[in-house]
Amino acid sequence: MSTINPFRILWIMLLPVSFCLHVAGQSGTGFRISGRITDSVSGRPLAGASISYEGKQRYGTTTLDGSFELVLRRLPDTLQVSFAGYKTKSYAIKDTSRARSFELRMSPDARELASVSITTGIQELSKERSTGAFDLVGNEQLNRGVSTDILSRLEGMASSVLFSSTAGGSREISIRGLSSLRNTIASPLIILDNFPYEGDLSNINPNDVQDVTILKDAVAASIWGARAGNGVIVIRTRKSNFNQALRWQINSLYTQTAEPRLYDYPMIKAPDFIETERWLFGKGYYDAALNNTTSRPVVSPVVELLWKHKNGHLSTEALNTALNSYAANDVRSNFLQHIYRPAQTLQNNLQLTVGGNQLSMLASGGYDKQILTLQGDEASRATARMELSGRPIKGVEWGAGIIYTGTTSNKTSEGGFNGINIGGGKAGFIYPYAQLADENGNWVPYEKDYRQGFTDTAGGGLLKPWKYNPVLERSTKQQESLLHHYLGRLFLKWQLANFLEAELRWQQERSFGNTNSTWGEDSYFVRNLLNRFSQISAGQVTNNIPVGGIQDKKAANELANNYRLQFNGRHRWAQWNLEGLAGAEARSVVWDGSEFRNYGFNANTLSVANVNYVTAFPQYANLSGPAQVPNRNSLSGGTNRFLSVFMNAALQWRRQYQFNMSARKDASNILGVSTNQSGVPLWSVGVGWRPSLADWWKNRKVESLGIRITYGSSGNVDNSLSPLTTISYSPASGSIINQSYAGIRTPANASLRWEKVYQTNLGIDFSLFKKRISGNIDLYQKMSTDLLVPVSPDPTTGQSQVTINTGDLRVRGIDLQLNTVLVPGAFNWNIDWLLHWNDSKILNYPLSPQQGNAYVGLEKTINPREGYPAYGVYSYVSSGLEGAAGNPVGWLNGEVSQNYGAIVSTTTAQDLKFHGSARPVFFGSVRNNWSWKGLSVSANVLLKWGHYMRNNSIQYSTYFGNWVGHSDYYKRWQQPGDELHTYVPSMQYPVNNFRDNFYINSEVLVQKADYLRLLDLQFSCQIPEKWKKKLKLRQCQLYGLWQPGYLLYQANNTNVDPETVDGVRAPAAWSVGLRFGTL
Amino acid sequence: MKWTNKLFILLLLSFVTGCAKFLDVRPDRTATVPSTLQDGQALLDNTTIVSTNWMWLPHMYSDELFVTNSGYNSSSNETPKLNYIWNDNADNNAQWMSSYRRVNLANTVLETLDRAGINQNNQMLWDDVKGQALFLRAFSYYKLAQMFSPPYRNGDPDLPFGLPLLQTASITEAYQRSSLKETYDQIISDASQAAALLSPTPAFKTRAGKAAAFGLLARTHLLIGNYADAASNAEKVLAIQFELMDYNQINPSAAVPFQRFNKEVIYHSAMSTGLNNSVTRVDSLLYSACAADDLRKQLFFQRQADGYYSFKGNYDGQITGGMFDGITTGEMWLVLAESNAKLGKIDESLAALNKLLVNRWKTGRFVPILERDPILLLARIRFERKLELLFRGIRWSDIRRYNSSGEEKIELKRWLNDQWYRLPFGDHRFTVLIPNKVVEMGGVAQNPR
Repeated sequence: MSTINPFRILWIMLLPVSFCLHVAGQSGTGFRISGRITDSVSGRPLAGASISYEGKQRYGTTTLDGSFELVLRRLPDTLQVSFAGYKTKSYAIKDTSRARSFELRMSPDARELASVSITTGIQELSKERSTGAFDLVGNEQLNRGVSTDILSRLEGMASSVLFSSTAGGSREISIRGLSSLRNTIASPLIILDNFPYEGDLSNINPNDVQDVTILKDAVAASIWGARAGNGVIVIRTRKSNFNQALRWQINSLYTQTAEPRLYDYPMIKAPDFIETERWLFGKGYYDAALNNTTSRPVVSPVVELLWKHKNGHLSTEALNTALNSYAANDVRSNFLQHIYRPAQTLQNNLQLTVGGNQLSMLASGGYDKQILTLQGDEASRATARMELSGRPIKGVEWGAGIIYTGTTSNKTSEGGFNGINIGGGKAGFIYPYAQLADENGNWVPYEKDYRQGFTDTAGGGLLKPWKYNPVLERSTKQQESLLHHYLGRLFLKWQLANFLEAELRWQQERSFGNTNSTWGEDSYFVRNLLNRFSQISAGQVTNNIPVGGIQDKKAANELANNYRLQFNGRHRWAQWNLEGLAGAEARSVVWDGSEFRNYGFNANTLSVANVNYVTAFPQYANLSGPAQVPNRNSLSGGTNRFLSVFMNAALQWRRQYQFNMSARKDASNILGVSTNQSGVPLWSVGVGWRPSLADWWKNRKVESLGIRITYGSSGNVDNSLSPLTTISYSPASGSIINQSYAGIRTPANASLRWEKVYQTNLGIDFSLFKKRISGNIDLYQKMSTDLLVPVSPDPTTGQSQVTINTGDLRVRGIDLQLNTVLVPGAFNWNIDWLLHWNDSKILNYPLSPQQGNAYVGLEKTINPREGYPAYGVYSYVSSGLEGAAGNPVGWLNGEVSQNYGAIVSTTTAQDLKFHGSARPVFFGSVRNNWSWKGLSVSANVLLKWGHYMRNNSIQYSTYFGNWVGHSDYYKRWQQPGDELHTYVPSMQYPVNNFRDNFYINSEVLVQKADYLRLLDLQFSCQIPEKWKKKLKLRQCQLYGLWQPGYLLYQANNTNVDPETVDGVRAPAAWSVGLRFGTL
Repeated sequence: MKWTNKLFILLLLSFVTGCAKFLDVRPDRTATVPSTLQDGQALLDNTTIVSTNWMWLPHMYSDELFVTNSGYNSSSNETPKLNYIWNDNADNNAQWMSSYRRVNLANTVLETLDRAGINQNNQMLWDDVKGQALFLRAFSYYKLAQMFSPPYRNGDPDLPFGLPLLQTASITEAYQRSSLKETYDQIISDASQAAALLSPTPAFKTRAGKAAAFGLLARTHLLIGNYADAASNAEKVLAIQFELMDYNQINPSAAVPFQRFNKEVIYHSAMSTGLNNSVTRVDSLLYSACAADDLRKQLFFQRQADGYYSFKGNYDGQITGGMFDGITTGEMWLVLAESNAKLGKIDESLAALNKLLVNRWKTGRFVPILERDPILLLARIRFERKLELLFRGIRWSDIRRYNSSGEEKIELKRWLNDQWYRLPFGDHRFTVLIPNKVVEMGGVAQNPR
């Protein structure tokens, strides 16, 4: 629960409904009085405030501009004005002369709880008027963050939101844990103001964002129906105000992130690596590669030297000298020097708002520039925004807006340290003694696709050089991406009757994305391709690919249109207040994409050459069989359409009792489904009671208390599935007969249904001891049924993976938001606690495989098994190492065993060790805020608890074959007795892959992943009021943020960061910014 | 306000009636529900599924190849390594699945044809597409049966260890294992129907034509010991396509002497790669037994630095990729020779054998075979089959066939990392285990052990 702050109350909602004066039973003549009701702090008009008179017998409400007009039957009378979030005010009217027209200023009520405005994207409402569970991340919290995208700024700011890293290393956001068992549709629905946002979320400039509302339970989210199953995040942009002089604000922010912490990689040191290579060489491990006369796979320079030495082309002394010089290298220093640099981001933004009586305007512009950590990579973003709104005549309001985002990125780098791509499957790392430049600064090439013994002499000077150096490559190629994204919107609100308003909205999004990749003639990519497609006979080179550069052009366009017609109604009688809305919505998203390649490209003359895509040409030196020239031509396109009807009603009695309900039906154009089958009705109900608003409530310690209970359903839809067999066409480039062809896209599945999520929520809102402690606690249970799961079915179906409805998931949790004021007053110390407990269990999953190998080591992906959490960590039971050879010992059929093949292929799921969930069961953040006058400091500590992680370790198969070493090598078993203090198996040749597989997935490598991280430390200081006045500024703030990536506590003893893929900590970052202006 | 109400009601009404049409567009323009002959043909032209990635299991199981210690130890793919030593722990899930993927694709095409309907204009095309689908299904079952079902000859006891025979594209249909006879009956029935429907001149060698269907029938009948049917089907093939390449015209120094889709290819298909061809070596005894004047000695074998020979006679025109395992005219001449020898038609047999070999030997050096003793003639034919059909997965079927017909008693053995691995005559492992997952999820009986 956030504190009530006057600044935020500025933004107290404009209910989507504006009301004409509504007076019941007016008759005869009386005393006509009129006035305006405004906020005492900001002077902003309060629309929809309730005015009772004649002893609460009659009621009126204020219109959009806060004005009201009443006819009193007798004098004197007392007006009672109430408005959510404000202290109820009485105003005595004794005579008409004084009462004819006056302004009433209402002051915010500290006692009221949720007097903050939230938005569901369909309506804006006061939190008090809904029984739903919402999290509001306000402007102040968002401004603490420094990222260029808005979603990252939510980390540690809302108790229900969890950021987790996935198997691929990308960060994924979830609300209240899982609702679905698929990664692809497990992400929340993102709404920008009123409609789902189709563009890339990084297009949204955080400076344009006012606040973010997270819709958590059924009542909050089910208005979004079939796409709300994973929760909804509503991003609300800043709005302009009527009757306000020109205000402006400039915000500049600079962020610097250090180079990646390469030295954290648990690598094997060069001398030891070389030792292993010598040992393997002696065993003949490299013979197959060295004797290979076709694909000529890459071997390391050390192996090349050993080979030369063995064949008598190199003396033993020369060999040892060379090896010693290699042993002194560390590839990481080379990468830090020549590939990486500290990343820098500069963000600039200007905001302007101005408003008259009938028209108001907001304009903003931003320009961000990013120097990325890989040398040669840059990105920039320009945003511009203009919003107009007007109220030309009474009862009519309109708005129009346009947002433009232009993103460019220029990439010339060849990738980072763990993205080195050596031919022959050696993806990932390079040998630790690799050099990019020697001591004299000369660039040193390394072999990328073929071994040195081949590339040194290939072509006898007639071919292009076949050497590779990632630094030199930067000047030979460029990848330029441009994205233009336009969002235009219009709305019109029209008061049809004093209880009914119509609202028409339209929003269009258009994006044009282009990526041009060009490789110059000197780039390795071109040289390699050209060489491969060359033939030499009699000293003549035949090139089957035109000499020159290569250009790939990719385009992707999207057009989304949203239409919504909605009726908002409100009726108030006696102690009752009924609000409702009903509407219909249509959405259409049309997209297309294309890709093609030009050979023989010359950037100066823009000339291109023809190429023969049909013939399979022999490859130079038979590096492979004949191959066609790679063809990049492809087209794609499609249309997604949705139709929805929805309604929502809220009934209040005496402001204490609240009832909510909503319903929605969605339909979409699923392939092979007739329209009447494609819909699904979803609904929710909720009741709430706020005893603290009752007249009898006298408890001084508990100044506010409310309780809410909701239940309802929402769904998850995947338009790519179909109940019928569907096929998809592919271009001829993938065919050996040069024909366009089709493949089965989805096999027939007549029983396909939409996923449904039923959620129950029990919430309590409270404020104690004069707001010294305030917050809310929500208990929830989500039951997801008919979950669509990509299962690997019986192989006899011929499908490696099909997505079918199977399984039920139960997620229970507790959401706690607490604000505690430890020291009130001029020096203020408060702590925001955001804590979340979450327990997921798969209740029913008929397809749970029996084999253990379907579960072990797969904890980074959803790994369903009946009766277990979705991300379960499983291991083979281990008995450590045996003493004779340092082999790991497992269990097979109840007995200790070293038959790894049988352990891996026959261990059943029941015989595995289950550790727990790989996702935290308990997570949250604790933010301490200290402020004194204009100074404030806050520290956010992130906590994740109750989950397990699998440590990486040495796998000899990848160590030998792919150069992926691990420093556990040093802890390996080497002689009898070692088994007493290590669990790392001995190094053996030949490698038994099953032994590696068993060890890496055995229980010895699993540890608790609990940790506490100092997420960031923020400071800000406002210049003194006197100076502000002189400068005519309303604010002038210098602020900064330090993100050390520092772990305050971790449960594992291997000193790895549980959050990152390689266990390498994220580099530290610091930011400093200045925000000033009159806004 | 009344007219506005009316307007909104009107808007709402038109909105509702427009819904049906609004939702009637395809979400992805490259995707469709297959319903035309073109869709069916496009599925059959998916060369990644239909023409490549066939099972390497028979190749890895047979005695035509071996792998050196270094090659074995430096290979990272465990499944072919285990299969190479006939180890039951190998998980052949992927091999089984990719074969049944073709069955599913064929059944999808057959169901598409039902939707498309026949009329006067499309009859020819309709028949051809149906024939291709039936052939694909039959060929897939044929290859699966060579690994996952015990050897079967006409007249053998009918064991319940045949294949699951799926008739629809539904992925939820329950199935059980058929009997061996049912399996081969299905193959013969599908292939016979296909032979009647298919075009004699397919546009691409990846599409089955009449000759391919007869070729599969000839191969199948030979396998189960119906020599008369084998001979008659081989003749039908050769009546359509009989040409052989004169190996004297082929450059022996080329790293890849043969081209994909060459004139001997009746139906093109290729295996995926088990153990990479850069580490597999040809059986040394076969190499030594190959006569010096036999051009295959130069065209099929490439000496490697380790002193052994790798195979370069791949009819897929590849060195490193998968091996050709389709149907050729060369094979058909051998089927004709063998089945005629079995039937006692020695002259016809010798004619067919000599017709092949004269194109395989150096011009002028080939002395036509005159052997009239059926036993010795058949022994020669077995040798020629091993050589001519090398690295095509056919050798494995032949080993099982010779062992079960009693012609030979072949025991397989491998010397690897200072250890012998053996597959003795009569061992149950001549039939590969059904993948555990299939036994578990499909509820079918496992092969005997």
